[in-house]
Amino acid sequence: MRLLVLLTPLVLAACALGADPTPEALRSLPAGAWQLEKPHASLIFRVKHLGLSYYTARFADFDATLDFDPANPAAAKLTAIVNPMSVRTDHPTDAGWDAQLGGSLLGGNQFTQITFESTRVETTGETTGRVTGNLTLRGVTAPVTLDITYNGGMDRAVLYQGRAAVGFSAKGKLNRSAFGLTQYASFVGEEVEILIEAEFTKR
Amino acid sequence: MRSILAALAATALFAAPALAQSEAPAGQYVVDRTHATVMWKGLHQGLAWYPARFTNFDIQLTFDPADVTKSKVTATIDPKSIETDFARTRAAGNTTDFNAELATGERFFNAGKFPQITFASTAVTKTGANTGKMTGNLTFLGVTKPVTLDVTYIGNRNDPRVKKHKVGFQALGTINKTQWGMAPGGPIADNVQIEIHAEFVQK
Repeated sequence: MRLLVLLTPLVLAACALGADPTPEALRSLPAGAWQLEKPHASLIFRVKHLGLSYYTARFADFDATLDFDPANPAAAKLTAIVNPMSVRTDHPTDAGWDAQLGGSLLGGNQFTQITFESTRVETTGETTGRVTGNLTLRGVTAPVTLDITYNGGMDRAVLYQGRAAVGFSAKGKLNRSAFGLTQYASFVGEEVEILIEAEFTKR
Repeated sequence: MRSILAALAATALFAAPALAQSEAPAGQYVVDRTHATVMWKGLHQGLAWYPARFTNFDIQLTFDPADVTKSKVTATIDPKSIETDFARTRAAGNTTDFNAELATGERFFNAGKFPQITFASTAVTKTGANTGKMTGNLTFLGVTKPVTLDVTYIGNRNDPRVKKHKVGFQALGTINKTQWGMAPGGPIADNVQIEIHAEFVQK
């Protein structure tokens, strides 16, 4: 009982601190399979429109699994699946635009999934790395590289029922023509920027 | 003589598009919401950046390319148009309307009491050929405080579809949510990033 009284302030203090961004915290995380916490993950892409703006859209439905050992990050494996029909552009007047973009341009009418499977993981610093993998979009597979930044980790995340949690940001670029996405080349840029935020918890 | 005329005509033909690229007409512009994004990102539990966007907004621009420091922007945002895609990412059985909670919750944007977020620029300075800083008054939760956005002028051109001139910008900034009366701490860190991509069409 007295132990509980002693522990309570410590637990509360730990909650208030949030994730630890230090390399030591990253290294102390448990090894194994991690699952994406979907409500706390986002997948955004941007493409230049008319040479005027960075047109920004987002996929609302995707999932990822991470096999990760902090002692050996180069052995990590990342797989992701994205529902192309879940693309969200917030078009103000055309309610059918997302379905057209997802179904026709991004291949959702024929291919129910966009997939990514890592083939190579490198560390570039104590809390940064690079993941190369095969992206399959519209049934076409081509390599894509993502730059990864570790944001923080928690041994016991109250939000996730005490499971260990880790958070990453990832950025990458692809040339859309590599996936046969050649439409609207006169006013939509060739380069697509990918921005990912992801929280994972230990299974 | 004919060759000089021909040369002049050729020069004029080539010069015209170049001029169109470098100079947009001065005057009144309004945001093209089809090609605009208003979003914010906050670091969630120190793990990953949580993005949300407002899908309903209006931005008016008075633009003077000869002296951009004379430019003015006013904007209104409907806080009820906040979109997080939570409905697509929540666990099975979770029926929380998180968008509504963020929009109208007293801890968040309290839209029932404060139905508009507004911005009115007060000063523009030029920092480079295509960059500048825009300072203005941002009002939400009934509190008005200055913010400064780093603005990049992406380009301008005639949009053949609407047969009007367009200009495009990106604006990035960081605000401390507690200055507008939001409680410090909590799941989202105090410093919140603002990210705006927008095309404007001549009125």
